[in-house]
Amino acid sequence: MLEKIVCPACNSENERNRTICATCTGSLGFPNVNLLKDPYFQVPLDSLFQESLNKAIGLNKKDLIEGFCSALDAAGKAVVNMDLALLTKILSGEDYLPYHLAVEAGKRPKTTVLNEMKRSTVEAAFYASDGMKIVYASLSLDGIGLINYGSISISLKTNTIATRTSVFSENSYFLYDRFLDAGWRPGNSLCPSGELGTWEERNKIVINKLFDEIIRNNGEVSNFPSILLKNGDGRSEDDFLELHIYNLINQHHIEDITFTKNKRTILSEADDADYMETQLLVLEEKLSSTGIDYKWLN
Amino acid sequence: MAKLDNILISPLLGKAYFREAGHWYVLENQNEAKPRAVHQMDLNDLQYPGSGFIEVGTPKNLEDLQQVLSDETKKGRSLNLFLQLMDVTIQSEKVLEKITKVLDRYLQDDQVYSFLEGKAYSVVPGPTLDPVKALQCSKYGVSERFLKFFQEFNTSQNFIQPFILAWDRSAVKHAPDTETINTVFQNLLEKGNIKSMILSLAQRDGKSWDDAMVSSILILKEHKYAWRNLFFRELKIEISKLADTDFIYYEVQSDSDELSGIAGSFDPIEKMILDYIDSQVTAQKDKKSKKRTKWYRPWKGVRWKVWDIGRPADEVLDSLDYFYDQINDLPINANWKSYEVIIIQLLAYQFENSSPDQICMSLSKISKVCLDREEIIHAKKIIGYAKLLNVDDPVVDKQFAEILKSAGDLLGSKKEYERIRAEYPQDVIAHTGYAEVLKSMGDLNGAKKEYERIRTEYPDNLITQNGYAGVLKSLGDLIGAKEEYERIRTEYPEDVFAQTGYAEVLKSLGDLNGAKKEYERIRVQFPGNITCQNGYAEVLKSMGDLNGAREEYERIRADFPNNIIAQNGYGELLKSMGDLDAAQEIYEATITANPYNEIAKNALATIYLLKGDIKKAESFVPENDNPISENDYYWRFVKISALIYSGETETARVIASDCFNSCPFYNLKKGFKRYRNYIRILEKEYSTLVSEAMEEDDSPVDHLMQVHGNAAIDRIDVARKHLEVCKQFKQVKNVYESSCLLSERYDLNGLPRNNQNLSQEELDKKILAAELEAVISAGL
Repeated sequence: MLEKIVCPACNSENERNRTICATCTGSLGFPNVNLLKDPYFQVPLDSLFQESLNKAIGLNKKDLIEGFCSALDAAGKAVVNMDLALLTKILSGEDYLPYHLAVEAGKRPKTTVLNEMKRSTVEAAFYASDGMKIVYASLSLDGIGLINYGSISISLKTNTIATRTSVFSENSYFLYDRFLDAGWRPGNSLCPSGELGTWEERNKIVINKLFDEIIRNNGEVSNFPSILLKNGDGRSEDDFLELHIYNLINQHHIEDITFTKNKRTILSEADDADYMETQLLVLEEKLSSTGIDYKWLN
Repeated sequence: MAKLDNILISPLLGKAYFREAGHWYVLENQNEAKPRAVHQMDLNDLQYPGSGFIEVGTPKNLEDLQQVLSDETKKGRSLNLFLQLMDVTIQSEKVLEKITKVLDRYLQDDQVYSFLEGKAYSVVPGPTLDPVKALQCSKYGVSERFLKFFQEFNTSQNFIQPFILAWDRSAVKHAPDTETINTVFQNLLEKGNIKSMILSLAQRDGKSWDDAMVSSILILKEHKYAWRNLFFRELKIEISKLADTDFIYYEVQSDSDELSGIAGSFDPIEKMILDYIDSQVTAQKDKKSKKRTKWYRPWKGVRWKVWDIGRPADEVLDSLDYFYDQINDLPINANWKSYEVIIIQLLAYQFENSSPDQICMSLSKISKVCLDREEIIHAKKIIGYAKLLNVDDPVVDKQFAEILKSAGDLLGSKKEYERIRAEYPQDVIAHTGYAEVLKSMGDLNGAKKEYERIRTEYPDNLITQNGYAGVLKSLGDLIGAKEEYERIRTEYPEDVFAQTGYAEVLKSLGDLNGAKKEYERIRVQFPGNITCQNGYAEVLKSMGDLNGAREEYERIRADFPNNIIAQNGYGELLKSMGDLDAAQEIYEATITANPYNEIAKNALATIYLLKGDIKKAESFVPENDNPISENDYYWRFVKISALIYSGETETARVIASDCFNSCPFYNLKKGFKRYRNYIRILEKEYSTLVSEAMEEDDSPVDHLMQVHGNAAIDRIDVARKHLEVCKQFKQVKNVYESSCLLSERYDLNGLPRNNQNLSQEELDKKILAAELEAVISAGL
């Protein structure tokens, strides 16, 4: 059902999940992105977007859509949230590897029980074996990501992730369930199209998903970030666009960091404030040596 | 909430994951934290490189889990602080003081203390961690316990790596499986035995070592591990090789007189190495003020006893490329002094920066560089230095076996590999080296079997896969070899051996255009690879484009002036083009630089044959009634040629037929068939010659034989077809001349006639002479 991918170096045809050309061994790019570049995914996404645009024109609100798209182009970032320990480790030069890759590289032991988790099934259903090479992020307009997953939001440099990032209209876990309910049989057929795309198509997915809200907002720029990403009381109430970044991330991919809790709050919440204070000091020393921009929110 | 099951704790993240009623939850170690459902993005936690999950075996209720999580989190934090205190990138006094105080507080907890001790003595500190820096932090005012912990760790840290290495080596020999030995290690670690052993090594405290060993054996006795005694005996031996352990050294030998007696005759490098050993021993003696360290048998190898771990291997070895390049840049016939200067510089550098195993490694590498340049004498001499430093280094031993092989001592090489394989059964290179020796000895089926066995044991080993494909090719199973190479190059597109192997198989299969295309592609993919470049030139030659091949070889020789294969290839090309003097010059230069180079010697003998100096040619041929290796068979070609020139055709026929029947090497077999065909022409057995023609006989000389055979029995059309092929090789002097003569003799047309004044008998004589030259020049 999927078209073959043509090698840019030698024009040979390859399966879409190949990373290296079978003929000339040239690079074919990233399989998660290549998959979603197939017309099977692209055409329905385009036509849904066209419908949204036509609807906006009919309502005489095209400028609102264009305004939101411009904001996304200018400030839309991939953001990963984490806690202090994790960030300190990354700033010490550790790679943030997809779990399965870390196991393969012998960097961490296998957690067989956790492997049973639904996540592995979901990853495989969407990307087959390449699902094991994904790091997750959310799309954000103000550098603040999903704080239910850690109070520190790490914005990634777009030019380091754009070519290897795919975009889902929502949490893939829920999307998977929704697709199953709609009759999808993973392994026997491709998942339904229209809600998944590449980084280049993030605006289309956003507009298709959030059309009504964007129109209702009537161009109020200050509301843009909370329209795009809603932090719920719990994780299941979060509403966001999920980004799948192929392969690892590390300190060189970080653009800036936002601490959504101030130091006082962090210390007051800690079970061992003394320990936490040392970790904040270590973190600040690491940050100053890397030169990465960061800000504390009050 | 009922009992919680399947609990996993990440001490460093301070999180516990567990399952209840089929659902996963996470509990965080925070004030008043409550469990919450695990979510897909929690998987990112698992991506944390140092998350190190602990499985909690027994089900627990929530309250107990909170306590376990709190305890484990403390341990994780202590480890984090321990690493941060040694982290060389953290320099702020304020931060270090704070870390010191908090860690000191954590260490007062006995559980945390033993946990951290276990961790500290089971992990080799990386290059960014400095235990001395941590010890210096005691200036901020610390407890006795803190001070003792870091003092002991600081003393021991250089011995952790050798201990773990010795442990692993001993485990390979005696422990039943990895899981058991890991459990044993963990068990002894938790009981403090591992620390006691390492610390006793560091403090040269024989009594503590013995106590720790006895205690460990007793612990294992409870588990009824029957292998424990052998294991610890082995551990003791391994440690004696890897660390300064004269207190447990029980193979004491004192040969200081022998050493002083021969010291005067040592060359500068030998002397340097022995001085180095001596200085290390003296330094150690001064440090310990203990009994004199004993060592023995200098030239047969010193059992290395003072083991100072140098800089990280990668860092040191990377910096050595400079020296390897210098060796590579030396002209092939450079005198030994040039090598000596470079090796002395290298050793001077390494004595300051490396451990003996690293020095052995770099000497082995230099020896390999020499071997690749076919400088066998130098390679052997250099590996002698490495053996002087450590008689038991498998890297050195393997290189020594390779030298024996290259020097033609195949049995010696085989024995050496057998010994290494027995001593290091997990060393895959020793196994593949052994298989290659079998191949060189002509035991191709044995080599194939061996490779099949290694492939089963190490399915991902690339050397094995290429080696296997190579054996198939040598056996003449070209389709099998092609399939193998195709599979390997698809799976490992960056492997140059598989790529060139594939191109060579295409060439052997007669698909010269395919091989040329392949080489053109590979040359782009691996621009610095000399094998690709030589392979490409050879394909051009096989296609009859001798001028193209010449241009190519001239370019290669300019770029890689020391590459022997290119030199020999160029010589062979000149020989084919009829420029015997120039070819002779090339081969003589090669032999001067590399007296072991059998290919050059063989080619030179062939040139003498072509020049009519049969005696001189025969003088090169070694006495050998029982050919085994490829080289042995090569010399048979010269022998047969000399017999034909001397008129002993019948003896030549017997040898050619015997070799054709017994030679296991596919390519050489084809050569013997060529000689047999020539003898059939000499004896006018044309019908037999024609009936034995095979599709695989595809060299220009094979076609030439068929032109003659078919024309002589009036199969003119067939003869003309073969002549058409020969005409493509106009630049191969002997082939073209013979083709013209045959065309003239049998009126095949299309080629110049220059011998109209000769009688038929004279013309026949001329044809046979030209054909013999073509057969001799054909090469393989």
